[in-house]
Amino acid sequence: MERQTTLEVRNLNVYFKTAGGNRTQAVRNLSFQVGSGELLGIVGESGCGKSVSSLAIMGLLEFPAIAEADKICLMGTDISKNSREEMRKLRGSELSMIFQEPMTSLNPLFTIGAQLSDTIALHQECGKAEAKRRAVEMLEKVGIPRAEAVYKSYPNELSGGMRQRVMIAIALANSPKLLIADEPTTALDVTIQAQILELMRDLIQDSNTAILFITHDLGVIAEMADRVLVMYAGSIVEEADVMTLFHNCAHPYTQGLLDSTIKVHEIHDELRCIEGVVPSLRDMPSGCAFHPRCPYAQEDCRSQRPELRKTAEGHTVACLHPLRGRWDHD
Amino acid sequence: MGKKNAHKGANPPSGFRKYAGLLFRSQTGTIGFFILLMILIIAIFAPHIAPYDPTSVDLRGMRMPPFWMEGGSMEHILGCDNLGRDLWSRIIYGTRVSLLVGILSVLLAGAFGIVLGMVSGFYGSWIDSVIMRVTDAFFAIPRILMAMVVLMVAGSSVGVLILIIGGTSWVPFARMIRSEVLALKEKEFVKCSRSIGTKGTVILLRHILPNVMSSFIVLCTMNIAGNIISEAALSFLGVGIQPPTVSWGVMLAEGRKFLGTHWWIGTFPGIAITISVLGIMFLGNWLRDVLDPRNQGIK
Amino acid sequence: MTKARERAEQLRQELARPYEGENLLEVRHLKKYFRTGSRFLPGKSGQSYIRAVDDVSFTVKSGQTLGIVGESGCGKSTTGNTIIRLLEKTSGEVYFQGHEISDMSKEEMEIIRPNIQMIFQDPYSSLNPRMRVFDIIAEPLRTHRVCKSEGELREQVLDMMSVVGLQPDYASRYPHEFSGGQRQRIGIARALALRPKLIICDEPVSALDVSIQAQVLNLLASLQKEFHLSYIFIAHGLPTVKHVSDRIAVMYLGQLVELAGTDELFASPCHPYTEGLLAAIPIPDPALRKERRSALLQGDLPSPANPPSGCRFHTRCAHCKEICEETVPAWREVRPGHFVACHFPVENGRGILERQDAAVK
Repeated sequence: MERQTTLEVRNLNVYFKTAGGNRTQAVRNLSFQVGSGELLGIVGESGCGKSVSSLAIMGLLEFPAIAEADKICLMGTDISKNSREEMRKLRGSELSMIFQEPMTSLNPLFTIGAQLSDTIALHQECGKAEAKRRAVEMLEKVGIPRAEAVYKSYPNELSGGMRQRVMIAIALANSPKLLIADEPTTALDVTIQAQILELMRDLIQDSNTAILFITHDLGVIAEMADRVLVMYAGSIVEEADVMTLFHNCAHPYTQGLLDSTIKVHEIHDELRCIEGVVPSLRDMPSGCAFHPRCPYAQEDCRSQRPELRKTAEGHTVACLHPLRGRWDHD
Repeated sequence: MGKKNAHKGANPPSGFRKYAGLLFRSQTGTIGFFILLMILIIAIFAPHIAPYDPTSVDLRGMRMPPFWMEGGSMEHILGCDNLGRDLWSRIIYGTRVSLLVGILSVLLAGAFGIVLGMVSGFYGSWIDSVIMRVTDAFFAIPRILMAMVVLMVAGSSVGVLILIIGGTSWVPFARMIRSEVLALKEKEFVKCSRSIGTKGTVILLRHILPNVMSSFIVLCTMNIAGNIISEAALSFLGVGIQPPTVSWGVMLAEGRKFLGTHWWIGTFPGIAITISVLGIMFLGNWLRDVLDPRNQGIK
Repeated sequence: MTKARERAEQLRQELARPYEGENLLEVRHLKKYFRTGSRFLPGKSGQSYIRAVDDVSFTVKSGQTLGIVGESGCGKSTTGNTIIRLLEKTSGEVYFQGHEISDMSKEEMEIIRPNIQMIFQDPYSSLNPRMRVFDIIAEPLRTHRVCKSEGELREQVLDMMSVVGLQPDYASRYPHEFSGGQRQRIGIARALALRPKLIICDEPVSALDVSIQAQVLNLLASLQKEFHLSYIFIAHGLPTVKHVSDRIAVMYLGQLVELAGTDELFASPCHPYTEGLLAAIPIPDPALRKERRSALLQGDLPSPANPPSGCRFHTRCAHCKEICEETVPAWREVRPGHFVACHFPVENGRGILERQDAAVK
């Protein structure tokens, strides 16, 4: 089945304007694609720019953050130059987002039903009664028991897992083309997280929504993603399909992340870790941003910033001396 | 084992230099600072700056307008009041009183309020209830009534006025400090101190107090402005500073009758009050922005 | 008065020596209830309790780590806080080196405190932002007047800093100049300063990035060997606990449901909740992607203010029978060293290692 390209981002850069007219770069030359029905995982630690990138795509960045891109194409249409009004029309209908903390994403003063049917009525042009019907249907679809009762309740009456289901319902109510999920399960208990991930997998299968799944948890990536982007200090360091990433990764940072992750299913004595700390945005190392922490760093890593290059089909790395992969030396 | 340096770039300026740098980058902060500086200099060097004694009468200058108007002269730049006293000199000497009352009353209120607020917030239970009820009671006292009563009993003087204003303006301090302490008490570093076995009073002084200082300083600054206005209001109503002591409020009272005809007598002290208060508020706002702990550090 | 002081002196001397016994800490039937509702109103709004910790018993062996794991509302943090007496117990006993500490007076607790320290979860609020690193680490030493001179104090503090991997020139800096992982190191140095025998780690790595978590876990492991420490390691995720613990206790809504050696818990759990927890862990290997739905626990976590009757887990248990709704299951030893509170403990628990075998086939 031929996949349509739902989202194409080319050279997204995000800056923060600081005092004195200076700029701090948070995201550098981010480029990737997501196809319809595909789940692209973006994994990285704090300060890597993953959340900021997603906000930029949604048009939700506020001053002092500034986003610039060659293009951000949603279903072929460039939205990077859209006005605020145009972006507003897209959000909730074509583009949706789920955040980490559902309590702050839901308005505590309005009922669940009000918030859900609001978004349905807004984008689907139907009457109030019809919107309510579709809203209840949506709540059932996300596995909420006694949907009619929940429709009338307030966010603080629900548990964390329920609230996240409601968020998913609101996000998917209008069958968006692209869903961005920013750490949607990080704040949930592990058994609830498993339920939500299961739910999301089911919902994806039935629709053609493209999903951008942002997380720091490699276990979740392994469960959910088709392809993965690894980000470090504002840039992509590796992109591959999920199997390749876990079994045949090429970037030392990816390898370090995998080593640091506790593998419950294996018996280990020592946990290998990455030395050092993530660099501050204002104080980036020269050359490769990862070189001070890289166990394989060499002389040229200090001076030359590596570009993303293809090592195999569908596998790109930004490293001068990747762990695996055959460079076509030309 | 984690040898990476804490990433802060070259050693940043700390302490005085850092704040000086931050100050001059803020327009309103700089303006506020210079206004306050000017007021301080005027107050301290009043006898050297003022051209005349504030109580000396110049019979020729009765109700003389400011120099740029017809009838005015450079001898009395801002004109004279209805008794022929030089307005500019009176404003200068009035600065002393206003500043003295403003600052000292705030120090009094602040000291009292911070102690009550900390004790109330930290120890909780019945101590908290009792202190809060006392606070509520004090809040309800109308300042003007209090001033009139005390005036009758203790006579008027700058000292008495400081006591009155200080004694009725401590409530916001107590309340604000208390709510900050309540929040701080839940922080893990306080719990940690308790788990180490540190005594309560030591925790209060070593952990809680330094962390409420920045809000306290901001509140003090804002209150100086408020208390200057309070003094002016009380004096204006005749229950504050009594003549022959000069204060801006007294001048306002004297100028009230002549607002329609010799407007300068009442207006210039009013402008002086406005500029002072504005300057202090600007400085206070800048301080609040700068001392906000979220602005500390890299993040 | 002298008799009490004599006792105190004896206690101090005993604790100054390394512990020879096996059970460093013993907790028996510990309960901590929080009162909610008004004293004065009748009925539902009236006096009611949140049973945060409801009859918990375990031991911590000298030089070993006991992991306590559970989801929100299970009471694990409250248990840690109660042991160290940040909270006062409702009932139960806590024995440290054979001495009952939960009822001790302030003076006696002063002698005990240097032996039990705590590491906190949030690296951003566990350090006083207005104190320099030196003073933060020195505080326990100053409070207990351990050092006889400023020089000795300085030496001890710098020693602690180097042990946890902090450079000496960090001593004059403030917490906000450090990253999360470094702040946790400062917190660890502070906890170590008094050379405790037992450290309660309350989710020390939850707030850290994955690569930093690994650093801190490795540090804790090496410190344990170097200083012969015992840990109670509280976490909400099984993977973290697995790496550091010798034995693991699983809590649910204020009660212990299972306690076993780490490997055994992961290989063959006996309680349906433990099984569910294990099944829910996202495995960092796409080849082992979960296909089965049946192992996942359904339903929400009940609120600790309103726990289910009988076995608290019965509302989410696939094997629930009538007795489970009515009777609280007893805490039984089903295998040597392996305890469960369940009417129908799982015979061949589906452990985590099984999944790998299943996928290979």
